[in-house]
Amino acid sequence: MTEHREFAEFYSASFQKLAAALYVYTGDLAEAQDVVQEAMIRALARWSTVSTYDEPAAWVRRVAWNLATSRWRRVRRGLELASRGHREELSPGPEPDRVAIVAALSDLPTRQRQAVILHYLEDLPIAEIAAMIGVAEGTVKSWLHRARATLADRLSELAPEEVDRV
Amino acid sequence: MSDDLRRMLAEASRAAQPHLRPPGPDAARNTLRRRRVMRVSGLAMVLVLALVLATNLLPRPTSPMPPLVPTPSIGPTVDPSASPSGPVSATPTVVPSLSPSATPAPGSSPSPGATPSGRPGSSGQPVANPSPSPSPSPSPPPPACVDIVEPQITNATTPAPATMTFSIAPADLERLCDGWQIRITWAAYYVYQDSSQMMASANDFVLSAATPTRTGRLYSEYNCPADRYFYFGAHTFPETIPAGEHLDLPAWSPGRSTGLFRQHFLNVNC
Repeated sequence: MTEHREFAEFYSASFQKLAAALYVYTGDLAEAQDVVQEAMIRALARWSTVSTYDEPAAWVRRVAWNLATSRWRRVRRGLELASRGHREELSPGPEPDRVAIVAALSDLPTRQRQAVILHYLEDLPIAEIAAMIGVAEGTVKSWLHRARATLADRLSELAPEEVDRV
Repeated sequence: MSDDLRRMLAEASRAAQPHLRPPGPDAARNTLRRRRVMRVSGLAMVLVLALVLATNLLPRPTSPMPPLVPTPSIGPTVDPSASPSGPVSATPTVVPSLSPSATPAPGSSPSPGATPSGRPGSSGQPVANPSPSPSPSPSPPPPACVDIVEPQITNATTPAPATMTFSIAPADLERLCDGWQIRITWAAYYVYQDSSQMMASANDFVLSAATPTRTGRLYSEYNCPADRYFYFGAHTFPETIPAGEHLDLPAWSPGRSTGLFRQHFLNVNC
């Protein structure tokens, strides 16, 4: 019973923040909620282990991001919904002026977009992002530099910045 | 730019949060439970399917003690039983048989029929007749394979010296289970001066797929052949048998793989 309460508290404290970050990444509220819920289910399946980690939310975040970038998962999810006769319903999202950055991010390559969100929104250090994605830190820096340059073109109020100041 | 970017991302994230509808921890628990049930059900179905396939595809195990089914032999066969008190001319009775048939009860006079094989080396040696015990019946059908069958013995009743040959009929070879082994112990006696019986020859060996045919040498019985016993399994026969007596070995019967499977009372008045 204690385990159930612990997980419920963790869920309430983590879900919104994770899902909101993934919404910025995917641009789709339903998709963001879906991957975070799936990550939560996986955490629950091994909660006795995950709960002992220093940051259980980091484990769930990593799983959720892996799910969000998994093409296979998207295909499987589509098939699952189709088999249930599911009809896509658009979730109401934020106002358009709030999502200008989301639209601009959608033009970025997947990895650049992921690096930007993890670094500027989730406040993860570059080393942690590199470990999470499985690339060198220099690669992450390069992605961030290019992403900022691209976003500067899209959003006039943004100005380019040197990568070594990231 | 970094600060602007952080601010814009944080605003977009904050703007999204009111629109989020978390399914809740209970929904996660229910989903997990449903998946576990599905997984267990799937595993159970796979196991059941595997069991059904294994049951149908694997060869059926044979019963440990299959009944001895006589093999029909073609050609003249020798009546395995001769009266202990029979006359000297009680040579094996030849009975043409295509199927196992009951033989005359001990004590009945052997018929003075053809005597084709009394001498060693002659062609057309008699073949011992199968045991008279089970009468063939149309049902039940024979099992897929059997562990033991009655070997054929040539010269089982031929006076010594002679060589007996133990073999498995080709039809039996086909229905014996893989790895079959049939151990045979035999002994031949001759009549001693006080009318007791003395062991003249004895041996034991194993018939198998590698050696489906073996021979046994009958040494001289001084022209007074007496009892001969053939036993499934290992057995120690006595050196002597008192006058007027015969070994009381357990008769072979369906359900057992050892025991007497043939006895010939060739005791004659020498």
